[in-house]
Amino acid sequence: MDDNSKYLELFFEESDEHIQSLNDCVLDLESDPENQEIIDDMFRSAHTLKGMAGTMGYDSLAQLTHKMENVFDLLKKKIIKADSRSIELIFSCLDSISAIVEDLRQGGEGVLDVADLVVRLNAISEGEQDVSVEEKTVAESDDNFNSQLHFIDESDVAVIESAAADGYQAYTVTIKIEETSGMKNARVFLVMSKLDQQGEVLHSEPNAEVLENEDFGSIFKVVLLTQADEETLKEAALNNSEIEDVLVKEFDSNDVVSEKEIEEKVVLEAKAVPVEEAKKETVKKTASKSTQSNQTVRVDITKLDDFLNAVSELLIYRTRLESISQDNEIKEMNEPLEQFARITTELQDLVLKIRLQPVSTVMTNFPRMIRDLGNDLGKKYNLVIEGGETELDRTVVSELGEPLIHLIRNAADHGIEMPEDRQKIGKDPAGLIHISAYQEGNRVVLTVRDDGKGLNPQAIKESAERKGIVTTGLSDLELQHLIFHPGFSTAKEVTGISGRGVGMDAVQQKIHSLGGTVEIISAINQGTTFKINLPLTLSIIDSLLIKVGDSTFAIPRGIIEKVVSPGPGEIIQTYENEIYTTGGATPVIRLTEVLGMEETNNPEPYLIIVKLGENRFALKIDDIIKQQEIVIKDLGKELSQVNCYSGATILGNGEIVLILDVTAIANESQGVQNAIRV
Amino acid sequence: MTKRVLIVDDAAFMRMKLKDILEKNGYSVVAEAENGVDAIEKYKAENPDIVTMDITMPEMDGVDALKGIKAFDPSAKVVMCSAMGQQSMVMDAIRAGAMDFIVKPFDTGRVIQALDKVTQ
Repeated sequence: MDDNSKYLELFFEESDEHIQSLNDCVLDLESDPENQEIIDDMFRSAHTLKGMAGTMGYDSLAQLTHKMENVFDLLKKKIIKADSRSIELIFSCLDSISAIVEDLRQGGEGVLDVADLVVRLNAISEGEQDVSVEEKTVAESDDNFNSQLHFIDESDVAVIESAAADGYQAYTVTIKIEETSGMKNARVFLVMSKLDQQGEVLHSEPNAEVLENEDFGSIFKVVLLTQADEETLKEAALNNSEIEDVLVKEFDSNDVVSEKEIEEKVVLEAKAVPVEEAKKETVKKTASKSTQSNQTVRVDITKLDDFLNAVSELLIYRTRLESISQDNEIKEMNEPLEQFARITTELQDLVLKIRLQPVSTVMTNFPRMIRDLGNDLGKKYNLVIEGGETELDRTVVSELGEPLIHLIRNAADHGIEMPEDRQKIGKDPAGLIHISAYQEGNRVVLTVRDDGKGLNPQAIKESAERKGIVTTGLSDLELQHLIFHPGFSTAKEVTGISGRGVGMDAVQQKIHSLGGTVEIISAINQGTTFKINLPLTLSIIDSLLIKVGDSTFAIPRGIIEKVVSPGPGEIIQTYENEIYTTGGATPVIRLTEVLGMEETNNPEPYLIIVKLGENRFALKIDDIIKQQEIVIKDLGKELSQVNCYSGATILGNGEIVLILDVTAIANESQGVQNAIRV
Repeated sequence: MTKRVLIVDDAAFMRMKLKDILEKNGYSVVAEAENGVDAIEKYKAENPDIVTMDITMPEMDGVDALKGIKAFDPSAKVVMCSAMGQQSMVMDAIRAGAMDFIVKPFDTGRVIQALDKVTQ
């Protein structure tokens, strides 16, 4: 057996693509059941999946896709209609296929009991299939062990007619190879070469290319011009091993059921083969869709990570070289250093760009999910996705799926009301779920908005109090933010769709871990909007270098609102804390205290005003050094317990600087009510 | 009359297995060869009724050995033994005059069917 493990990665990647495209197609088909183009796409995807599964030896998958392909074929020929029954079934099949692929990805055997689905698929394809269809199906089906042909060149017919005068007779030889026979293409070749000794092979069905690629069932037909008799021909063909049966009949042009549809299928099958072949190559053209003819290369993501790492290192040494040149005043180095700087910046931009991925990649499942939710809950939704092309670092994108799904499920389950309730208050019975993404500076804003009942602060307050959460003195906004409190849930009953209240906390944590913030904007009966603000990339950020005592720290510039040098009287001492009074009361955080350093008692401190969600904090520092792009390095496992730092960076002079995790610091110092975290 | 077979395969294990299958089904294995060169010599010495020829072998592969045997005896009956994925080699062999082929791993029924067809 061939070792297929090296194709696994590609197999998964391509399977995912095809499963996704099938899902999309079926959704489209549901609203546009007559669209032939969609069905063609579905057929192609199923066929390719089948081929891939077969090659890899995944039997359940191959079996299921094969049966699906049969059903698609009937759809294609308009023999059956895309009704709710067949669409439901196709969705179930797609789910099973995803499950199998997922199992394989996890290192499983990919074996799933698909018997039930196969029976249902068969019921559809057989129940609706009449006799004429049996004959129409091309060699793919094994039920066409007969002498009917689908196509023959007119020139061949002319040759046959003229050769008759010289005592030549044309025969249609139909050969059935044993189902389990290996290397059917070589078997065909063997039989062909035997027949060739008896006469001239004019035509074969399926065509030579399909036969050679072993992309047929077990039956093939040839038209042979010969002086030999039927018996001899039959013997020549049968006289090979692993041939189950042979049928020889004088050629009759009436046997040619030439239908355009069928021709098209043969062509299509021939085309599908190169696609399968292509999966074995790492470099693949995605030219299948005429809209995008860019050449692309598939690269293992770890290589990109390594690349980014190397570029980051380069950046560090560039800064080092610059500071060495400055310190020693080496003028000759200035010009090459400038060039070096330009090129490293270009490289950095490039690698960051390469790593960008449109957010739509995690949104592809959403239409399907919304549809299923609507069916389960008896609600109607109108899903709008905007700005799916907005790009983010792929690490961010891949982590985004889970929280987004959670928010959407929440919106669909808790946010949107039942259609009749909506109508009563004059809303469109179909609830709007609007997802948008756009870039804002070096950050990306993602919003999930619904026009449902909104978050009722009073309901949240009551619920929170029942759970023993203190709500005294909280504003409506703060009450709404309580949904991020661990263990909080507003759902009257726990449903299978949106969880048990552990979810929103997890959503916030995930966004937080990506260096993002999440905000709630909600009004009763108008709906709820979750606004997620994310950094474009996780590895290189613009930062402000500051000094606390003798130590240098970096603060991500994205969250800094402004830096002030407070005048006398602008900071008020309270019992335990200090408050910066200009422009509203802002709690002052003494970094020395939070970071466990000695109090500097600097008479002229600076305050860095940071905005976390809706809250402002003033970080008290001793000095500002400069603004600089820094490369974030992980602190490593050993320091993962340390809360106040999100990472470290290396400066030009080789000094290691810790990057402050302002959110964690704010939480630490204020014991903020879990209300708003970054 | 018992048919006399020459088994050609570089793997002793495969020869053993094939020999076992053949002898249990009324064939007599008169010689074994472990490469193409050896195969041609043994063919000349033993003049067997049928040859089972592995494709991938050191020294000289099965297709060349087949050609060598055919050059010596155009009526030689040679059945190729091939692993999956060697389609093109099998097709070359058929062009060069191989009578049939069997696909590894061997299935007793199929091996005997192929040999019976060739020798009838």
